[in-house]
Amino acid sequence: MAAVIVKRGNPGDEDHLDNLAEYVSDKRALMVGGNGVDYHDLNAVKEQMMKVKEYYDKTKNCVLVQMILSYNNTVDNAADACNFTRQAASFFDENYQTLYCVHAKDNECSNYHAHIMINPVNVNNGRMMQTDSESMKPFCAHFADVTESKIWLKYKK
Amino acid sequence: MKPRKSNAQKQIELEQKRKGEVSTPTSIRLSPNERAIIEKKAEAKGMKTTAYIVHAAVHGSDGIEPKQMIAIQNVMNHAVDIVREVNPDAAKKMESEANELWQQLL
Repeated sequence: MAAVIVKRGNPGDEDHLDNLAEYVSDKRALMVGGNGVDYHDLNAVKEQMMKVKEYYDKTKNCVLVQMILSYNNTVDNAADACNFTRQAASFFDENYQTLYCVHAKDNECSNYHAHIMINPVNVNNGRMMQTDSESMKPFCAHFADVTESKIWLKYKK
Repeated sequence: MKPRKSNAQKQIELEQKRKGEVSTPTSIRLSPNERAIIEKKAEAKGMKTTAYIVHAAVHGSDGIEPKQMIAIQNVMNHAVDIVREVNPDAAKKMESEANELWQQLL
């Protein structure tokens, strides 16, 4: 079983985007990737996400959607964790900019996990991404296919 | 039923009202044919008709849209990943050129 944890309660300012971008690409990251952003350059990531927000005049709304994909101990190597994360994140490629990374086990209790930051402004039409349980069902189904396991959806502040 | 507004959204709207940034309504006259075309285009883009009209008027003559920019950035990322191995300076230059292209998006 794997879990999707949606983090809520973002303060909604640009500093939050800065902090998360740094967190995603710190030294612990085994892999960094993304869609529609220059994931080699954090300043560029922030600017590119803000450009899309400005284009659709959505700079005042939720800055980011943050998700954690948590793998259980059946995912016991970095290559699998990275591969699953890449495939899972590709679900958003059609409509959203993303930045993601995979972290190794932090301690004995924590397994491989991935952080995904999503610009919630749809690049095709400017609509905001919804993260309620109904809206998350297609992604959870996709993630279940990728990992061939049951998915547990959880919300965290 | 309309979805309930969150406290954060209410706060944003109050702040906008205070700053005088509230949007105002306007009306336009359309023939049935024009309306049908606009509605069809809005639907194809997954937008509400009013949002599409605003979008088309604000960005209609722009040369580049976010979707195209994102496709370019993804190609650039693949290229930079390959070039970085053999020539890090060239990779850096490619990145900065892509960033310049982003400036044209508005």
